[in-house]
Amino acid sequence: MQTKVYPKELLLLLCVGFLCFLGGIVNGLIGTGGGLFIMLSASVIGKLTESECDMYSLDMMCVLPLSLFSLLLYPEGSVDTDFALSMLIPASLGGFVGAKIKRALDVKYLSIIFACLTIYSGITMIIRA
Amino acid sequence: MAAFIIVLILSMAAGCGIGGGGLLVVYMTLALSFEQNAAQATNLLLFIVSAVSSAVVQMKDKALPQMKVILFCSLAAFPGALLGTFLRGYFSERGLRVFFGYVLVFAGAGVLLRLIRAKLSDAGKLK
Repeated sequence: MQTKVYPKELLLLLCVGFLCFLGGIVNGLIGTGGGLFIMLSASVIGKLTESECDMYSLDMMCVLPLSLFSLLLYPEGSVDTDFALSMLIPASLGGFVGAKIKRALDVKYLSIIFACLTIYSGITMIIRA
Repeated sequence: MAAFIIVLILSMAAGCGIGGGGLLVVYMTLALSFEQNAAQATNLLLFIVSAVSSAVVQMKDKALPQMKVILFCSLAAFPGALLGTFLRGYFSERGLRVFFGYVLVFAGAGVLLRLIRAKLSDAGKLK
């Protein structure tokens, strides 16, 4: 559907832009977490485009170029190439399987599990730092 | 072998769009003793691999959002990434880890709150 931008909708557009900008800051700073802000913007985008916006797909597709850009900004030699090369197969296989099972599974329940794990990991990280 | 399974599971989550990159950074720093910066950069590379793989499947299934939406969000996020990278230089290793930990806690809590809100909204208790 054609995106219509009226002056009164400019605020919503700015809101989306600002959330994505914040997502960019977080992704640039810690190499992850930017998707949180982009997912927040999905509902606003849904209003703007008058069509439902799949926040999970939006998150992944926006964080993909953002991650590439962020990675290019890291100093040379930051990536552990030995580990990364040995993990290329599970990473690509995981992405493939994840996309395939996405429709079959209720992503909401998986999100709950991952959210709990994320909170636990965050607390562990703070305590151990 | 443990790393293989963990990366596989977290990449599946990334492929679904749930995330999981944060957990991989935690695994690499706490279990594999990576430095924070190395873990973050390696996580970015592995995320790119799994996201490309997932995007190819979703493209075939025509399950991707409109390209102009992706472009707008990405272009808005790029200056932020530049700023974030610049700010990273001002953080110590410990400071970066603590900040990272807080972001994880808020990210997890944010997802839970959004799901609770959606559930209440579906039940007609919240407008």
